[in-house]
Amino acid sequence: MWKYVLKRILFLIPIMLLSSFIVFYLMSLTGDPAQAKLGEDATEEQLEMLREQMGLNDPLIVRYGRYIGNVVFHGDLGKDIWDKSVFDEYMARLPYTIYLACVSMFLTALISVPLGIIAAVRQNKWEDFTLSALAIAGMSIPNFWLGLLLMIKFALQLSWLPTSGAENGILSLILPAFCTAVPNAALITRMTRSSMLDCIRADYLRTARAKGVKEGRIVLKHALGNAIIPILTSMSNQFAILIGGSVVVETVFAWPGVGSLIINAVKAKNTNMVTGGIIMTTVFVAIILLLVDLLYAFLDPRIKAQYQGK
Amino acid sequence: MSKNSKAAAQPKRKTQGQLIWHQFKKNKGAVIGLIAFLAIVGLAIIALFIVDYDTQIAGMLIKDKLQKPSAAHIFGTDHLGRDVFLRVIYGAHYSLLIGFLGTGVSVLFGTLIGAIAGYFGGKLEWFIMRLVDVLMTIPTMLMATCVVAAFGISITNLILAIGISTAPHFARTARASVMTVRGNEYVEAAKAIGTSDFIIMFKHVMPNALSPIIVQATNRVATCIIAAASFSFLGLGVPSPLPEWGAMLSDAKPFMRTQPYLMIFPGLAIMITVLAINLIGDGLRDALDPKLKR
Repeated sequence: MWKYVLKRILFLIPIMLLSSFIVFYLMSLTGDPAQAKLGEDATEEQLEMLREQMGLNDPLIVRYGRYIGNVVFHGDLGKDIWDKSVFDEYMARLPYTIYLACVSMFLTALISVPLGIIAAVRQNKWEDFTLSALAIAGMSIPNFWLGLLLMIKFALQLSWLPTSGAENGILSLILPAFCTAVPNAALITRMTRSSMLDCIRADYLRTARAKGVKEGRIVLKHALGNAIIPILTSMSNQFAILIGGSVVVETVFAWPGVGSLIINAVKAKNTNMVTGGIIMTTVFVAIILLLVDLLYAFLDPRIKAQYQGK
Repeated sequence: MSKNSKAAAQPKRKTQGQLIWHQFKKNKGAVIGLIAFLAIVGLAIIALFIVDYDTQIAGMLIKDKLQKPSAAHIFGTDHLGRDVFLRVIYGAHYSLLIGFLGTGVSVLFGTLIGAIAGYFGGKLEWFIMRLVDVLMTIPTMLMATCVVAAFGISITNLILAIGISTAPHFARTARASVMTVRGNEYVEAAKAIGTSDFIIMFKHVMPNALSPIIVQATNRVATCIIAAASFSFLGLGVPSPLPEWGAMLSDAKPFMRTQPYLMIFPGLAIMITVLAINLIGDGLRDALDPKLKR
């Protein structure tokens, strides 16, 4: 088992190196960082000097090697166009994104799992039809537009909630968390419904019913217990996506997370910040997904058995 | 000849397309989705003929600016006096174009490399799928941001960005689907009579492996439309004078306190289009995969 864990962790290293190289390569196409730093009216000599100084004249692979070396050994992602440390800036923003993602996931689970169960238990009744219709509508609503509408209603017209920023603690979080949760909750409601339906038809439930187990217990313990794995899988994927960028919602609400950091950096042609931000986020997302996978390996007896004794 | 024996003599065989349509029709939501979708496409085509692009879409009619919805302008007018209704129906072009072409790029590249991996197997498969693993670790939105940042802001680049960032997902689906088909007897039979790999793959394997890809592609069109609107809203997609729905929302943002109706219609247009496509996607999923039907 530990061999499996070790193998997965070691496997992550080349994947991270390659994906960061792809990002590094793409971002090297954005233009000349020396020009961005000195502005339009810099002379060719000044540019050439700065390029030499910044090591921009070296081949791509050398620059990448130097960059990744600094990241791995010094935790240094370079400086942005305003000479601030990219790493520090990123780390200052990360807690906000994690905070938003956690609250949003909590809301998602709170809304979707009960609704999914109701839809499955009342299959082909009006509750099911209503919930299924709501779910597909929820999936189709652009979350940033929902955010704008709620902002108009609750922040501008009713003044119950702040329009943007993160200064008002949990109050600031309500709208962004809700908007990111709606499409996810819609998806999970559908998922819970179909996963529960698969389980409700299973033979062991018929046995449980025949034994006289109460219906509520059948649904919550026997069916949900078995239906929960695929639900958790897609929720962990959604969590990873949220960490990777509730880019638009963060920008709409000026939530100071990494998504808005990266988008603002793209607009300001702050190349180092974009590169560093995307690479760091990719690493975090990969680590989260790996942890989830490993957790399953421990929880799922089938995977465990595969690696037993190896 | 009696009616019965005539029917027996000429058994009416339904083509696969008819069977799928028959299943699809049973799903009321899907039919509503299809009608709504056709209506949107119809409006977009009509818009080409009734709208004068230079004056009504990209022009300026300052004396009419910021009018509330009325009989003359049913969705009102924006900050430059342009009719929001006309802009919304004209804007369908951009969303549909980006949604379908973005998905097209994604399906083309993803399916091709996934199918090659799944069909040939071995070292080639290992190599392709590891590459796919690498690409998939970069979150989709960030990958698209990266491509837009690298190549600049334009409609073509947005289509490429959306296409490239989702291609790995299709590669996985295509590989899995091709792997289930490649073991079938008819593929072995084709190999045995010396058919080339190229013909086997495109004539025998792909048509039978296509269902999950079609279903995924339909859903992907919907997410692409939302992604395109998101990018345009952020100022990284379709530039502002063009009436793309996301760009219109971005234009309306400064007026959201005084003219909230400007926010409603472009967003509603995105939602209805995406909803229609999602409904069609659900119908196709049920029609193409009877096992999933419930």
